[in-house]
Amino acid sequence: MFLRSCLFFLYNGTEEGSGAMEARQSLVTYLEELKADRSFMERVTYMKTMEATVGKYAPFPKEMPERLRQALEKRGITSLYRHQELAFRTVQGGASTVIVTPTASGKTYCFNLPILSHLLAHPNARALYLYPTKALAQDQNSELLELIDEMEAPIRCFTYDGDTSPTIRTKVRKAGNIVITNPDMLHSGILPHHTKWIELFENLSHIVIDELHTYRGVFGSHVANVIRRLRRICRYYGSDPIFIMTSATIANPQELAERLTEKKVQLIDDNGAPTGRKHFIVYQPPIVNAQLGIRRSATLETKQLASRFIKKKFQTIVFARSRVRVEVLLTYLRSLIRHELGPKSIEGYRGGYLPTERRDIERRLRKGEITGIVSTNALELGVDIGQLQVCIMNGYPGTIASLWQQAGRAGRRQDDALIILVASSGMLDQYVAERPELFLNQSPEAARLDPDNLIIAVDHIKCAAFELPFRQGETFGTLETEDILEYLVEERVLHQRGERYYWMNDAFPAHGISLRSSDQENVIIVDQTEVPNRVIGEMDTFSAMTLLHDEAIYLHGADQYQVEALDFEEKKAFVRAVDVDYYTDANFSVELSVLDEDECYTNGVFSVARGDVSVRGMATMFKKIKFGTHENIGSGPIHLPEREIHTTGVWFSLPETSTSSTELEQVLEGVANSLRRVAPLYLMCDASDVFVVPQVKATHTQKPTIYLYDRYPGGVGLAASIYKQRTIMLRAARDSIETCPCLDGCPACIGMIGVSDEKERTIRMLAEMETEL
Amino acid sequence: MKNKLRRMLKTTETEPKTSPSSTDQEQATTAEQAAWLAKGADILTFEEEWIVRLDRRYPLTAQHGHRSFEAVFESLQLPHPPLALDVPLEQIIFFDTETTGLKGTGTTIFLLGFARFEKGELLMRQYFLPHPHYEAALYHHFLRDIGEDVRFVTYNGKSFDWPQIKTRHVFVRERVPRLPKVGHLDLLHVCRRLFKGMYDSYRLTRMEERIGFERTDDLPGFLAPMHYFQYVEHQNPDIMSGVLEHHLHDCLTLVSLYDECNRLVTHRQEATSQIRENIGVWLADLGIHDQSVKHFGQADELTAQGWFRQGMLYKKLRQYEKAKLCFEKSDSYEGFIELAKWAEHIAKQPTVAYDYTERAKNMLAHHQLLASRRERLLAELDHRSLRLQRKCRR
Repeated sequence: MFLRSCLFFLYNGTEEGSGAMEARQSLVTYLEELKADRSFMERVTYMKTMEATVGKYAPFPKEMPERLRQALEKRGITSLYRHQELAFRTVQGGASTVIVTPTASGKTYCFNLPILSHLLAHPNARALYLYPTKALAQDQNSELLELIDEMEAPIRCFTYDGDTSPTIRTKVRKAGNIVITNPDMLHSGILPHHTKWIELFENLSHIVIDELHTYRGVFGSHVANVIRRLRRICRYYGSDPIFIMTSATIANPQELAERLTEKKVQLIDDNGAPTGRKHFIVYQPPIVNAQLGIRRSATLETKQLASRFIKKKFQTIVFARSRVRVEVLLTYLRSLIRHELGPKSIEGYRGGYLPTERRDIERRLRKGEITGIVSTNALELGVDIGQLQVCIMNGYPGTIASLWQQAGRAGRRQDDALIILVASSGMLDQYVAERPELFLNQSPEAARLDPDNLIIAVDHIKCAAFELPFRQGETFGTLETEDILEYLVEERVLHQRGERYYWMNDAFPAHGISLRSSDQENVIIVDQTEVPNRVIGEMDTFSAMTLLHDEAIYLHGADQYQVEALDFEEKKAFVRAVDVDYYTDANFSVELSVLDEDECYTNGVFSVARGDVSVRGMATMFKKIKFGTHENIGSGPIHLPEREIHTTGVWFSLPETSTSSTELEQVLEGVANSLRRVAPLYLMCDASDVFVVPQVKATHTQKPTIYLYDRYPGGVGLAASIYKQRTIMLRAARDSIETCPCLDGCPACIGMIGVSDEKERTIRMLAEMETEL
Repeated sequence: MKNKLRRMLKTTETEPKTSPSSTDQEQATTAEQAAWLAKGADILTFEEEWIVRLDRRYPLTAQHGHRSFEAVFESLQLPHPPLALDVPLEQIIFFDTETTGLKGTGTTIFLLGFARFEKGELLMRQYFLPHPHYEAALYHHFLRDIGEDVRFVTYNGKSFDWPQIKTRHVFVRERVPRLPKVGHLDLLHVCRRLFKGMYDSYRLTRMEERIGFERTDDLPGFLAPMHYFQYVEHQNPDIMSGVLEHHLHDCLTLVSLYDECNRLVTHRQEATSQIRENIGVWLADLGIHDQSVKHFGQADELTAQGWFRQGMLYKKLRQYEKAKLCFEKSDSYEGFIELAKWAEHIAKQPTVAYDYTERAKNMLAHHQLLASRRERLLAELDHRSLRLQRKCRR
């Protein structure tokens, strides 16, 4: 996305005006000032400067058509980065490819150049681009249109999504050489109507999957199945397209690409783009309670740091981990800086804002009208917002991969950039902050998905059967279908006759299946403050149980709303604007039982197993927490129905000990909490994707047991991954408690304030488990 | 594995089915065909496949609703522009389908058929797909029977039946004739125009009130898929009798409904003022001005919008005095705007025009309208007012 301007700059040295010079100068100077500031430097536990690197270039490939070459030259581009040239040759050679290079390295040319070359030579050919969001698709469309315009080529390029007007849909279907869409639209709008897209499927030569790393977990498992359906239909119409994928840095891009597409994929990861100098700082808030190991609030520190930079007019992005945090920080920052810069110079950005709001913010960021932006990881993706100067992370973003994505937001082509990680008191944060080499030297996490998750796969087999009848013995991707097809026949969804299975149901299967979550419906948030009421956002039902229950304080655009009623049946939350000094935090309680054991290891005393579990969850109560001091100032019940899911889990069972059950319970909880907190380090998931349940005497094992389970129904591979990596995870959990500065255990390490030698005993238990298992 | 599936996906308890051997299957097929033949159906084969065709012939004296088919036969001889079907009679088919669900690739058309006049009779012909596998046979026979040059009369066929046929045709396109380029008259659109403002729903069964046909023991359309799924499992033609009957009535209703519409448009039947107005407006939209004038002329009373539209028609025909009368009767802001234009440009009476403009503004202020549209109209009227004031002063 940034490549065009990037190359433009390289060959048109004039673009870097005096303004940019000034900004760079001052950021460097300001950094010197900071280094001289003792109170600042006291809290910096780590500082590293990554020097600028020079670009590696290659001439235009001979196979590239003259028109494309001229169009590029018109933009001042006379050669390619080496990885772009390599991608071009690989794709020309007919191999599917995944390209992994950092933000602003010109990834889009890696697929656009070979595809445009192909389309120039084969006017009937078609390409399909998949973007995880509509916004990214729009960006790509305008970029492509500009390039096509400059070539004056008869190549037609369209986006196709829910916003596409019915009048041009036919045109897109019949004549679009490049169709840019999202997996959801492919799933419910294109594949089930494939007979209207004959021209596309018969001539489909390339499929682009940008932002590959976003296709993990539940969403990735769904999309892998959508791609199975896509390839099945391509085969029916006689095409076998090449896949070109691009990804942010993750440990296993090639594996992920191959799992997603079930094709052999070549990896290109040698970045040829030059980078500017980056300064990386780990910032530790001071300890305020040595006994509990509690540090000052990272949010307060972030606020102070951010206002410092914003006041100096450095374009700054602040990443916060939750929607609530974003809103809290936004409120703080706006009130601090309102008088100096005006409220419009600082904006929030997160899912739940309406698309038009977001487009407007993106545009103003690019134009430099916004000095400060506070965002969730929504801005990690390749939304084009231009490059900023300072990036502040309020807490470790959860994965190494997203840390680098977020850090990549700062760094103008040949300008210094500053990245600050403000560690919170949380255990994972402290663990990472103490060991910056974890993310600086080690490879990031691997992205997991499980296309064979039964619930997901069965859903997509239904869709596939609706699209084309299955033949006996036909596989669905690599999945054997015999049992599933027979099951669907028994369920009267399919009808078997001879060798074939026919769709025999009056439903439209794709409508009932959402790729994004287990729930197909979102809760709509209706603001009743003014008449007429208006919809101000939406949220998935699972989150709604803890964020939109009755009396919850919902934060949106730095405004506070109280939920007056949550209509869970109708999926509507009615809110009204309020002005209070607290926010709410909900408790979620679970019951768990084992359904089936798949794998087990035991030494007679200790054992570990994984398999299917049933979990019944319920939001029970909420607390009111005061801003600033974070004290608990009240609570209330939540009356929402229980939800049951079947998923996959791992359980560790331990020997019964002579100690009292209270003590045992405490240790189990300590072990469970510490395991849960290190899990994201190894699983590339959010801490909230893995849940833990300790049981003093579990029904299944009759022993003290700790369960860890995957939040998504059916599981998406996290449990298997925990089972495999249990030793290293147990070690990390122990290590994290040992290095915690608290005395007897604190909420950050063992999950609660420790009693007597609890910290000690938890460490011992983890050490035992590590050696025994 | 299946246990796991059942547990995770919350199964409905059903008896596991054993799949029949191939000799069983052959015997079953023979029995199935015999059952259809016993009902007077034809079995049509194509390659390895077969389908069921049911014909019924009605003499022209037979009735569907309060008129005989003879009347329709005559109507069809009296082609009238908006309902014209410019082909020989036997190329006009009154067509309908039954499907397994909503639009989408996996939705199968299991029953299609038509009524058409041939050899002094009305032929009602249905093609039934005994198994989803045999679609090639279905389309092969259907397309061969109707030929290349054909006009469809349907109800909502433009957006449902025909696109769905196109979709399913794709799967067998290499084996069967191409789809004809159809001329298509969709009676749903016609009824919506003719009976505008008179019904809350324009479902076909509601329209049957007009032709005086009442169904007894009719199978509701939404149950048709269930019956078909049952049939596919048990292969007993009796399961389909309700659906076949329903479909047959749908086609016959199309025939009578066409006649009804044609009679109204060609003044061969009494009609309420509202219908006359609706037809007048419709024809005016189509640019059939002389006919439109006639229909308006036969209406005793018109709505405000009707008077306005008639006024616009006369204006277009340059019959300004008549137009003026209509606009006055319309008594709406639109009417006054037109009157203002007339007074300013035709009658050249700026004071009168000014007066009309003010009245239009007044009415507009109390009219339910999109805010943005009202703003725009008011701005235009203000502009006109100012201009007229200047003219008056002169």
